[in-house]
Amino acid sequence: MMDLLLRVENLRVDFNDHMVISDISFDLNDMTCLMVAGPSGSGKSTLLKAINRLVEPTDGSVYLRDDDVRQLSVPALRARIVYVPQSAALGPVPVRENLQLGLAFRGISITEDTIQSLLAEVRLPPAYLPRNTRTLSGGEQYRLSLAMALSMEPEILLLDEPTAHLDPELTGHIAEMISERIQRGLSAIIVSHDMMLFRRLGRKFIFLDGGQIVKRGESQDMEEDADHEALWRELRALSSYSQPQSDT
Amino acid sequence: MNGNHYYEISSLSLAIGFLLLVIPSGFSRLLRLGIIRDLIWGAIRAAVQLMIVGALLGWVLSRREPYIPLGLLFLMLLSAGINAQRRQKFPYPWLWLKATGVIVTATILPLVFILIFVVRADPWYSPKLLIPLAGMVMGNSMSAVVLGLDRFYAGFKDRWALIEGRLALGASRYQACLPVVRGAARASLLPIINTMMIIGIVHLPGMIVGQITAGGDPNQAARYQLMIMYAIATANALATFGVVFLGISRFMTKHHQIRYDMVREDIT
Repeated sequence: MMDLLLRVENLRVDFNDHMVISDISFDLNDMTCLMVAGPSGSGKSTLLKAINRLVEPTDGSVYLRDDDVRQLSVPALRARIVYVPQSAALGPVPVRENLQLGLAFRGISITEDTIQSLLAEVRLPPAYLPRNTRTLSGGEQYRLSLAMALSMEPEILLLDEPTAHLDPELTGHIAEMISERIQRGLSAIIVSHDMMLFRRLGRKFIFLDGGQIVKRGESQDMEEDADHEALWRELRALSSYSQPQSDT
Repeated sequence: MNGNHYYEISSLSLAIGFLLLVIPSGFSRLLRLGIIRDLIWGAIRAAVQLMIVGALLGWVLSRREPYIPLGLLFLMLLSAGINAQRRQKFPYPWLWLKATGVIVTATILPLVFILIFVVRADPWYSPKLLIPLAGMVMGNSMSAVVLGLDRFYAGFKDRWALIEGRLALGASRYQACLPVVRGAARASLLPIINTMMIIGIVHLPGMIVGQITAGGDPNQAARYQLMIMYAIATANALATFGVVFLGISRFMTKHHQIRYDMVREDIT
């Protein structure tokens, strides 16, 4: 049986006295993935940010292993639980400099082997290393962000709409890459409406609406599962609003 | 010309000098700029303010008690802090006090260094040196505070997503803000660097002009000016360093979180 890695208890975040998320509770075990879906404005991104304290929860608790995350140093916590935003926000510097950034914040140098293997993992050519990030497409920038997050060797990866900028082929590759990482010890919480990601990774899921969990479940095959038929229909509807862009 | 080899300006001569403003007033009328009233009002205000300062300085310079120049210095610093708040595009409560703290630190350190180690004034608070030098350094510190804060705030609002990305990778709030800090620091320091580049070539600053017209040695006047430029550069750097801390503490929590309510209206 896999160990409990993350426990979220009654999490609530208010913003300017308005509730954004409320009463969110779930567990995440080692080497597992939790998919999070829900309509726009349902609090999905805020949930991810509250887990590693990019946003301060108003109430509730998050435990990493047995430690209350409020007892941990915030930068150290964020090195263990890394959040990757939906739109990559990269400094206008060469790709290599960006890849060095995460470890440099902790005073650690990244090795050349690690850089090459990270690039291969996210399918960026080594020739990109001296290129300024401004010259990369949206999809390439997102994959670079993913590589930067992976360079930290996190315990948990928080991905916000990871395939929004990717074409179906790259989406399949990213799903496979995450799946391999999970087999090697990573855990992930992924906000997505992407049907392919759900099929590949979404055995455990929560569905948010109005800042609260309105459905949760675990299924070997959601499409075949009558209990989740309504959810699957909603996902299809949400997916139609977020068609993947071409990544050239 | 008097015994100290400088030409005195009488009240009548000053009034004749005022006539020069006929030319900009004429331009304003010709081009319908609508600024004649402001121009005249500005000229009168400047005259009254400088006459009062001249009379006040005359009294201060004639006294030997240390608390008089130091008291005046305190008032000048307080006024600079309040003005820094007034000139801010993004003012907030108690900024004047924090800005005053930054301006005091940025001004006093290079000023005292100059008075004690360079000029070797005796006493070090000699009002003849302390007040004019402090005025020049402080004015620049105040501008550096205003410019630095403006640039930092604008940069932060513009680039909060980049800062969030750096925080997400485990950066401290200081590490995360570095790209914005660099922009603000450059904006604060570039004016003095540019001034140093052209000084003496296309621009003779007030201190040199003042000393020479007052019968001083041009060589010494140039040395004083050089010293004051170095002090201003140091003060600007210290002021920028200070306002960056103000900006970071304003826009971020001690838990290395962006105060999203200050940079965006939505959050999901």
